Parts: sequence; C-alpha cells; structure tokens
Amino acid sequence: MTGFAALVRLIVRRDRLALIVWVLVAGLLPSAVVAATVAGYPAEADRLAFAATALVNPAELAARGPVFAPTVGGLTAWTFTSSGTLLGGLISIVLVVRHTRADEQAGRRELIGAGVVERPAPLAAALAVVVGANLAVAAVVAAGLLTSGMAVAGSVALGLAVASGGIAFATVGAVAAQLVEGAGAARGIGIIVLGVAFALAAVGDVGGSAAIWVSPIGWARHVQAFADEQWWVLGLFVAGAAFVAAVAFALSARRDVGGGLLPARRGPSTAPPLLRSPFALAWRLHRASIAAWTAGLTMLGLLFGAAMSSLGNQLDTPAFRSFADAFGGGSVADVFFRFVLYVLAQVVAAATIASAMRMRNQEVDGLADAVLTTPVSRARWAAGHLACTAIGAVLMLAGLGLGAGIAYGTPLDVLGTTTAYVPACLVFAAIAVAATGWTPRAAGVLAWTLLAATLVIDLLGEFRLVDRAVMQLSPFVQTLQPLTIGSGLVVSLVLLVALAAALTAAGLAGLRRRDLGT
Amino acid sequence: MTTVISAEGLVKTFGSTKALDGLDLHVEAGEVHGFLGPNGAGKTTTIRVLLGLIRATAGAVRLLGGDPWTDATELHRRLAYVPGDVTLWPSLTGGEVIDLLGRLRGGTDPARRVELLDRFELDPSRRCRTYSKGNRQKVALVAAFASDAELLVLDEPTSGLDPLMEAEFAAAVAEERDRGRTVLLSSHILSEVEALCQRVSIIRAGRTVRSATLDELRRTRTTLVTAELTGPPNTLDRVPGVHDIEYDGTTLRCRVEAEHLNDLLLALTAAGVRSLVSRPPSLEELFMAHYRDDTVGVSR
Repeated sequence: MTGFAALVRLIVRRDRLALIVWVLVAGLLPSAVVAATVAGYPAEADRLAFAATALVNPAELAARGPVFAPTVGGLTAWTFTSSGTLLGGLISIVLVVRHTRADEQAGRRELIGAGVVERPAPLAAALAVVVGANLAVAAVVAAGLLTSGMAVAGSVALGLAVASGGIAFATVGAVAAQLVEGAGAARGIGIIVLGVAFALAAVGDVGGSAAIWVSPIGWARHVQAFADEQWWVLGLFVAGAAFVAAVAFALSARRDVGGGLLPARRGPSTAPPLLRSPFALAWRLHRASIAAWTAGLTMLGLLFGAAMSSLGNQLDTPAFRSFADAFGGGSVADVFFRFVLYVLAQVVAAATIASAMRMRNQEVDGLADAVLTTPVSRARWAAGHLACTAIGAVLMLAGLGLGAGIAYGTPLDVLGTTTAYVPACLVFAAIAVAATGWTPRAAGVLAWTLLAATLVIDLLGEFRLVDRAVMQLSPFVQTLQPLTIGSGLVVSLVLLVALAAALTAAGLAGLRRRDLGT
Repeated sequence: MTTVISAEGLVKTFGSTKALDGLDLHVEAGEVHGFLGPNGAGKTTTIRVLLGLIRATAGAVRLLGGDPWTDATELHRRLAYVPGDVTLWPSLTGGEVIDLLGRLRGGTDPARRVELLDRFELDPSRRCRTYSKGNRQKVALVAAFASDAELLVLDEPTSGLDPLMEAEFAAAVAEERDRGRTVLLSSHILSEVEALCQRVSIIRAGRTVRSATLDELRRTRTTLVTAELTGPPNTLDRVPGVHDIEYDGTTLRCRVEAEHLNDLLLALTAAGVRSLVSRPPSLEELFMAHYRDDTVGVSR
C-alpha cells in the first residue's frame, strides 16, 4: 500500500512520547500488582479468604469479574484485566480518532491525500500503529511477569488478553471515525461503546449470564490467565477485530474525505435570542458532551440498579456480610453502591477534567481570541466555561445516582451518595484550571497525571500497600470515608469545595496576567 | 487629529526569540493605515499586543486613549478585529457567529447585516466546519463591518478571498473610511494598500523601517536610468544622489534621486549619450527594497 510506511513513521514521530509512556506504564503495572499481591496476601490461606469474599461480592464481580484461581497469578489477572482493558481501549480509541478523523477535520488529511498515498493508507497506518503499541504492551506485560517468576502461559495470556481488548476498541474507534464529521463526536461514540461493553461485562459476571460473551471486556476476563487459560477466547478477538476493521475500511472507501456517513445538516441563519453571553456560548460548546456523558452514566446506573434489585437477596451471604462490615456496614445494596459509585465517580472526574481543559483548547485553537477581542474580560470568559464544567459534574453524578436509585427503588439515597462526589470531581477540574493559568502548555499533562496518580494511590490503598495518611490525600477517599463512617461528610465536602475554589481563583489570576495563545 | 494607536519602542520576546525589537507605530483617527512587512516581521505580534492578548515586554503603547493591556475589556467596546487565520466554532453556523459576536459587542444593525451577507455572498445557515478559509474570513469580516466600532483592526483580511470578493472588501473599507472610522490594515497585497491607505508603516524583523504617506513615498522614490554612452563617464562618481552604478560595456545602469536627476543628466551629456531610458520604479519595487535586507534605492 503506497504511503503506508511513511504514514506509520509520521504517526510514531508525532506520538513517540505518549506511546512509550503508555507501553511502559500499562506494561509494567501487572508486575507491580504481583508484588502488591505477594506483599498483601503472602500465605495461601489469605488468598483463599480474599478470593472467597471477592467471588460473592457483586461490586467486585461487576468491576473485575470472577477470581478464577486464588493464586498470585490468578489475583493479578483478576486485578489487572478489566482496568487494563479499559485503559488500553480508551487510549486506542483516542489515538485512532486522533490520526484519522481529527486530521481530516483539521485539513491535514488533504495534504496527505494529495500526495502519493493510497486511499486506505491513512486508516491502515493509524490502526497499524495502535495495534502495534497494544502488542508491545502485551510483550512488556509478559516480560515483566516472567521476570517476576510467573508461569509462561499465564504471563503471555494476560498480556494478549489486555492487548486484544485494546485492539478491539481501536477498530471501534476506526468505525466511529468514519461515521461522523467531528473528532469529538467520534471519540464520544467510541467511549460510549466502551462504556456499554463494560456494563455488559459487569452485568454478565454479576448475574453469571451470557452477556459477557457480547463484550470484549468480558472476553478479556474469560481468557482466564493463570487459571486454565482459554486460548480459544483470543480467537473471538481476532474474528471480532477483523470484522469491525473490515467495516471501517468499507465505510472509508465509500465516503468523501472530510465527509461523514451521517450528513452535516444546515443550521439556523440567525442565532437564538439566548446566545448572547460567554456563558451561552460555552454551554453550546459543552452541552453535547454533557448530555452524552449524563445519558451514558444514567444507563449504567439503571443497569447496576436493576442487577442489584434482582440479585440483592441472593448475595446476602455471611461472606459478603463480613466484607460489608469491613466496608462500613449497612445493607448489601448500600455497600455495593458505595463501592461501585466510588469507582464511577473517578470516571466522572476524568470527564470533568476533559471539560475543564476545553477552555485551554479554545485558546490554542484561536477561538478564545474571537471572544476576548469583544468587551468580555478573561475572567468572564473563563467563568462561562467553568460554570458548564460544574453543571456537567452535577448532572453526570445526578444521572448516575438517579438511574441506579430508580432501578433499585431508593432514588434519593443513591442520589445523595453520588452527588457527594461533586466536590471531589471539581477539585480535579480546578487543578486543570490552575495549571491553565500558570503552566498552560503542561496543563493537560499535569491534570491527567494527578488524576492517574490518585487512582494508583487508591488502587494500592485497597491492597494496603500505601500508608493511610497518603490515602487521605485522595479527594475520593476524603468523600468515601465519611460516607462509610456515616459522619464528617459536611466537613469533608466544605474542605474540598474550598480547595477547588482556591485552585480556581489561583488559575484565573494566572490567566489574567499571562499572554494568550502561547 | 487625535491619535488612535501610538506605540513607541515596542519590544516583545518569546523565550530567546525577539518578535518585536523597538517597533514604532502611529495611527491617526480617520485614516486607513497600511501595516506591511514580510512574513515573520512581527505584524501579528504587534496586533496581538494592541488587542491586549499579549503584553509587551518593553515600550509604551496606547490605543484609543487607553492601555491595551489593563483597559482591554473597555477598549474592545470600540474596536472590531478580523484575524489573519480565522477559526470559528465548528458546530455553530456562520449566522450564529455573526450574531453572537455582534451581541457581545453590544448589538448589530440587522439591515447592515443583511446587506453585508448579500454583498459577500455568504450563506449564514452553514455550519462553520463546512466553510472554506475564504468563507470563514467572510464571517469575520461581516461581523466586523456590521459593528459600529470606531477602529477596525484587520490582519491580512483578504488572504483567502477571490478577486471579486477582494474588490467588495476594498469597497467596504473605503465606505468605512468615508464614515470616519479608523482602519489598521495589515496586508501583503500592494494594489490593495495603494488603493485604500493614506499612510503605511513598513516593518522588518520587529522594527519599523519606514512610516510615511503614500504621496511621500512616491515623491522620494528613485528613478531607474539606463544609458548607452559614447565615451567614459568620468565625472559620474561625483554626482550626488546616484546609487547602484553598474557598467555593461558602454551601457550604464543606475538609480538616481528625483532632486538630482538634472545633475546626472548633465554628467551624462558631458560624456555623450547614444540612448537613454528613464523609468520610475513601481511601488512594488519600493516595498521589495524595504522588505529585503537592504535600503539601497530608497532615499530618506
């Protein structure tokens, strides 16, 4: 395919740093989990006890699937497979869209297309790089596990399971990039598919139903690394990814460069009366993603709520009781929701960072200039965007809580639990704002790194590998603990809101004094 | 006349790069001021300083009687800006952008909006992501012309327009000038500058190399003389105001300042002339001389 090799080199050159960081971090994480498991559960009895509680805990079943073997390898695979697949899937979607639809939208694809490049080469090159990076993750995972003294078959199987998940979602991203004209919308479609796949795997494993077999995340779990590996499941990935990739190539052959399959409609030739302020403009720019996230999280909530109301009594076993007591006690549903919502709140925090970064993206794209050369101050422009970010966080968490609560029958209780995470999410938005004010070029990297660091601390904290005092630094732990204990919530939330407000104020001060567009 | 823009010794550094290096710019009320210079000379940086988007490292700058950095929001009530590379919100239609920018500036005259849309042949119902570069530029131009701002800051506004639209643009700027508005027009198109501007400032490498009215420029430009001589022009070196002397056998080529043309002719006839061609250089040659790293052929 003419032009393929040159395009692969171009993509690798543009993203070399991100690719290296991704491959190393995702690749070495399982070895860290091995070390954590050995340290946290040294004796076989400990592991058996842990596996017994995890197997009857619907929250753990939903988030990670069943434990297939109470060994160090089995627990490592159980811990890493779902989150590794989610992470790899998300990065794969974002990268494929970035090198296909985003380039097309920016007009760079035309420069390439006018050169000696065959029509399918850009899509093939983007997929090749992302598939290659996923396979590199698999290689690093396997090498790391072998170095830790794990069995060969399990090490290879775990690497391939996670990589296959990433590859499957890369092809989903490729199809999404053909469907719509906007890169943001294409990413949104890919992420919604990822969310649905996760929800199907969760419901399938909690209920023991066939739903796991229609979800790549379910497939990755049921490769059963380190527990009588089911190699044939990898065949499902090969067939599925090949089919979806073929659909993407067929769609791309059928359409014009720059066009989508869903045609762009004409719009109104005059602005609606309300579009007259920086806030109104910001709302126009944020509303589609807020609506998509809120709808997705509401559906996820409904699924979990429904799963709980049908399975709740079955799971009220002594083993689960002891887990529940360790987790603050209360009814089975309370504990389940507390744990699942804690994890999903972290997803909302990611969406909130993305929303807060939109302000910086507007600046980089030159769109801030258009507003800021009218009589609108920088503070007023920023306030419009930040109000949308805050509204978005509230709506997403409220949708999640209402969905779960309505399906389970206690809407207000669950709604209270989810909206308690609003301040924690806003702290991360505020970090992004502070960085936008003072270190604009590093703002995105800084905000995402801090969120990732918090998630790693929370994860390691679950294995008691991190000191309790360090865990207190996590805004999520600051919310979960009072919810679990049942007191001190107001103090925690006030402190988090104050922190978010201080960071935001600092960011706005920085924004006022620096050059724009640099 | 009141001064609308005054910049003295403007310096702007980005890290180790010096984008502006002591730039001066003066624009009087009611004039169309041409702002010229090669790519990378610092035109856009100057405009961004004037708009309060970036802050000058050193130098004094006043805009409409205020400080463009500290009084940015208030000053923006009185100006409209068209960037060189117009980006618009992809999901909004052109009409929505025009209305939004107009409302943020405090209102648009609906009749004027209709007239401008018609004049620039712009379809306001299309999403901005489907517009070509030229059409995006038209959206920004309509929004700027439809405002009642007293100062228009236009950064290479015609770079994506076709010749018909360029003519429409020139007509629109001429109307604005007749209404008494001030225009700062950064441009590469010399015919456009010649047709519209009273005064120009030419900058190179972050400095102002020339600021004058077009009439002054025309008066001071040098004449190109080519003469075939019958004898050696011994006395030519002593004639004042002659530059770029070149010999090709008996053919002489040189440039001479207007007030010294007579001296040169006397020297040539003394040497004996077989043929003589004299031609004033075009405005284009004049600008080229300023753009290049030499000032030969330009008398001061």
